[in-house]
Amino acid sequence: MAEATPSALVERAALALAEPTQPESRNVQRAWRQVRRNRSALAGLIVVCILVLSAIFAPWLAPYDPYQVSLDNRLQPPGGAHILGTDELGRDILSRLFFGARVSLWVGIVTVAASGLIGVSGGLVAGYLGGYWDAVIMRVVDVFLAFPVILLAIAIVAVRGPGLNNVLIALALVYWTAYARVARSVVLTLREEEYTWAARTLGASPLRIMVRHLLPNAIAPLVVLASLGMGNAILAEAALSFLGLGIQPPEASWGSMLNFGMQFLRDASFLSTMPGLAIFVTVLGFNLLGDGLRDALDPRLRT
Amino acid sequence: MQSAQRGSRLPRRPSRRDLLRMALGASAVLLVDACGPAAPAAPAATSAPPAAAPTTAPAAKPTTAPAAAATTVPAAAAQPTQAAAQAQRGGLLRVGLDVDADTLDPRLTKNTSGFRMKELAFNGLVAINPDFTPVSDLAEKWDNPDERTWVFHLRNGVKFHDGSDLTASDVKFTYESVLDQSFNSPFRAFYLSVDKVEATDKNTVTFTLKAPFAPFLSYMDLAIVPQAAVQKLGADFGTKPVGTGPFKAERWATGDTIELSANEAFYGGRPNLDRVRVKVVPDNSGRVVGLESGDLDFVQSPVSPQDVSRVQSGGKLKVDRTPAAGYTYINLNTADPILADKKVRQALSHLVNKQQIIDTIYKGIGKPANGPIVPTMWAYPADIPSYPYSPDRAKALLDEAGWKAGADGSRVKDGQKLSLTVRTHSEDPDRKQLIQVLQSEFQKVGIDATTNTVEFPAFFQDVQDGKYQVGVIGWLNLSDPDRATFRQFTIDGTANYGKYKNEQVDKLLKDARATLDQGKAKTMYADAVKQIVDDAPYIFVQYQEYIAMYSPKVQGYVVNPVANWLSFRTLSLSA
Amino acid sequence: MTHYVIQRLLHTVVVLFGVTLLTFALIHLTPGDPVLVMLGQDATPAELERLRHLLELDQPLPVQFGHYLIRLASGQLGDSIFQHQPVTRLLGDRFPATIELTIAAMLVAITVGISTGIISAVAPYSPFDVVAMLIALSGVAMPVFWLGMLGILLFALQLGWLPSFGRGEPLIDAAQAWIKYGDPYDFVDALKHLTLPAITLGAFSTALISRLVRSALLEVLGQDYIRTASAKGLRKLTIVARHGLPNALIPVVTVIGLQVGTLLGGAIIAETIFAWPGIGRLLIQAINQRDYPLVQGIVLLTAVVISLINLSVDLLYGAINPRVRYG
Repeated sequence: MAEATPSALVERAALALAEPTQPESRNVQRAWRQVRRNRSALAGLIVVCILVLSAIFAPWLAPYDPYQVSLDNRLQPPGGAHILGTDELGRDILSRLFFGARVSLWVGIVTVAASGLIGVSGGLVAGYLGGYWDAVIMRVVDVFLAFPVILLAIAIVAVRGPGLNNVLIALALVYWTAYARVARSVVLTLREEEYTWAARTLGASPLRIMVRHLLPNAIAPLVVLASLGMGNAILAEAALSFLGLGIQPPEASWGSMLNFGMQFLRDASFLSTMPGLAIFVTVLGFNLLGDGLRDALDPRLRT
Repeated sequence: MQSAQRGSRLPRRPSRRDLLRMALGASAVLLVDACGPAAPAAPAATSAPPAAAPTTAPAAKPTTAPAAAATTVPAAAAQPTQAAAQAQRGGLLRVGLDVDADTLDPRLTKNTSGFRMKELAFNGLVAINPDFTPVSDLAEKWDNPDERTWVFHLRNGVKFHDGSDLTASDVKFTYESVLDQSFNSPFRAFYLSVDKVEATDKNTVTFTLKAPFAPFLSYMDLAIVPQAAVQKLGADFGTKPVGTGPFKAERWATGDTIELSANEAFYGGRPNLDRVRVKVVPDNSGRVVGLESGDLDFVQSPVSPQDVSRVQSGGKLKVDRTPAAGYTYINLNTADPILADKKVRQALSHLVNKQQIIDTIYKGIGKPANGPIVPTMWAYPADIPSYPYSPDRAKALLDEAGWKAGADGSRVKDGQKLSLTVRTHSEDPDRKQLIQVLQSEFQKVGIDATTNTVEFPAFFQDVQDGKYQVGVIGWLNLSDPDRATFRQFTIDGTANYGKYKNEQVDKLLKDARATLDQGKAKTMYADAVKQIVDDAPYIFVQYQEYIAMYSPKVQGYVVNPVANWLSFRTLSLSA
Repeated sequence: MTHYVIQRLLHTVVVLFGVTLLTFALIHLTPGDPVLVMLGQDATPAELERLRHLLELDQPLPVQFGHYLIRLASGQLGDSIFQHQPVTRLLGDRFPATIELTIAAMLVAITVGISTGIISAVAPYSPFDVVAMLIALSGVAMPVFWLGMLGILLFALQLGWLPSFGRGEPLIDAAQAWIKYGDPYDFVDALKHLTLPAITLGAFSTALISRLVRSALLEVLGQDYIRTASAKGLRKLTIVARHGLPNALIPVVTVIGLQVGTLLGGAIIAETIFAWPGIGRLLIQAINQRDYPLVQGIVLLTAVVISLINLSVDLLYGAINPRVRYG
């Protein structure tokens, strides 16, 4: 049964979202209308779209080669030939922001996908199979939750070395727990529903039940988590880069741009303001979208 | 032979490795950035850079070196300051350092902060002046009766911080503990020439060497520790040190603060300052912010070049700059099949626009480097040609070496692409910029260049293992030409990471270190350097500067190429 | 209740075991030979063997883990390789600073978060609410270190009101000194040093708590029994304080407990920016030096502290919410 622990708050939200009161398609349509009406969520959606488009079309949108070093041109303030100025090696900041969007998007997607995959599988199995599986998997979740997110990520990157791939591994290993808990809660609620009984009676395998019947109903809260997770992943990458454990130069990631720009904070603040704003706006966008989705999918939780 | 105190330390280390780290280590870290991780307490070279010149003690044989009188005044007084006469008493000096000391035991410390604490709390037989000449410290005078014997006469009445007297047996104890292999002192390698140390009487110490060793006197700055206290405290001596220096260590909150107070009984007279408080602020810019906002009175290298230029033009704080005994360079692994070809190395040398790099990345700090011996050194060969920045010349050399540019511009030979990875360590933002510049330049002539940065311990290990192609790193504390060349360029040199092999250079360097005639040695070094530059196992980039920035209240600071804090003895704070 | 307590205790024990296992495994996640990484290439094979033997890396894993547990039980965390001191001593020296910072940040988050949340809920969509929620939204979207740096530049450099780095005297000692000697200087100085780091660290949690209180309180206030009380003529303040708040605060309390983990993690970054001498900075230093015993010690300590706090929160939650105990 649902655990009587303080994290009931999260699970309550999940439960509320997951009740299959209506066929999915109408749910989606209704949600979409809600989102459209909610201005902040719409703003978030727009920001996310801009990010995705920037990332996809970066090579065409960027006015300069983001890797082109030009020492004569370093630290040019915004305006003129370089709209957002040039960085410490004379590279165009705007171009690097576009390409940085790719990295940020990539980090977000991979983190969410990987942690989601691990978490959801674990949660589905724990919730549906129950008993021994449930106990073990949930204990593993608790163990991971005993470590602060940043601490665990740092420790993992520290032992494996800096760089994009290790950052992704670390973030995936750190963020999966939320998905596991939500997925499990959803399953616990739906396990006793009629259609699940029916499927089981008809001889469907647990796997089929989990994937075809339970998972679709868990999508709603998971999507909310995913949206918030994208923002978290981007912030986490920035933090790791700040500590020198993230993506290394000359790759253009917003986190490493911010990190490098911090040294020039007094003399050329635009070096850090630009990527800082990019991160801020993007994370804000994902948060707003996530909030909007949550509100749209369950009116009872609307603030 | 007494066995030295060790305490419960993990693991034992070979001194050879420590020697490596020592000489190389903090150099790489010195221009460290710490916007990221706190600068590692990297092992650094010894504090006192000895002059390679043969001794200049009164009773010595006539030499060609200038005679530095065995003065009784501490080295700082080498620079006359009128402030010394009217120096104000009292006050607290707040200093910011980038890393915490690893230990306060001066025989074991490996990092720059440990050396600074050593300079405050301890003395050696001699002290080393900013111009690398040894002057008397605990030893009032010394004799050199024959090539292998040195006799030091200690001052009378010098006391340790705990009130006990300094005697010759403390000196003997100190040197013997350092020489004890199981003690694992990083300085052991410097004293291998010593055969035995004897306390011939209460105030006299006699050293017998195994063979004549030219730079001996300049290594005699090893901090002297009290035998009784060390034996009583054991491993705790590293946290509660007892020395003879102008300041006493009062409190060490690890990772944060070291508090010192004036030693009333210091032999050179009580220092003007009442207290010194050393704060650990890892971020280079953060330290400067601390200085500018008045939370600190004194900071020093490593500092960001842009902070230096801003503070200098601001005019409110004092900025002292001096050429440092170190340089930044690019290490080429001659064992790598691509880089084994001298022409390729020379081509790469033509792709480094040193002046531009110094003007932009380093904001004018430092000078273009053209050899391993720094310009302030007596052995500096002035007429070594340098590689001008010339991509055309580089291309021509690459063509000659058989690396022809294909249709897409990238160079190929025997079906293999000319690929190079340029590496450095992640703590130093200036070097990170440098490798990106290099990557860009290399790519422009058709080299498939990539970059890689990891933290210093991992980077340095790869360098030592020979697992690299092009590495940007530095050398520090190169206070004499032997230190600057022997281990790096002799065939079996312990710091010859790139496996450079030149029989002539090898012989020249070995002869030079045994030659007591400075003129002859200088010629040998010049020949060696010419060949080294021609062979290009290193691309020399920048002779570094050591920079100190401090509040105008601070009077009497004498800037020192190896950051030595000798002048703290007479430092004072005006109102 | 007893059953609940026992259940929670067992749960915590299991989690602690898992935490220990994970921490132990950390050293084995290193690519390559950890001993080689620690000693460097120049170490002779004999030296490598010796360290390997010392760290028991040449034993089978279960044996290593067993010994690790035994040592843990006797309070030994090994020695720091680079600082030549027992890990426990280093942790003991540095952890209080982190605790001080974390508690201060928590206080900021609780007071500011709850109060703004309440005001926002009582006056939804008012200018205050809009501004407060905007700030809260920003608070969770901004990189913490950026905020911290800007704070330093503004308040320390530009205005000179606060110190730009470091910690003053331990707050408790300073308070005692004030009481004993009547001189508040140390205490005030300590507070000044604490201000920027605590605010920077607590910003994220403040924003989170603020939003949470607002939504929880709003939901409670929309319930029937509240409207009934209002219809009965009770003043709004009374309604909010006596009926609305207690129910709204239950989930908030639990979230606050969970925030400790976030704060301890954030302390790593805050300590780096402000040169605060806690275990966060010690961790970064240990990582840079590949000082694995120290890294393990810090990670373990943090996880244990968090687990114990979670346990306390669970028990507290059980005490105030009877439904939990029997559920």
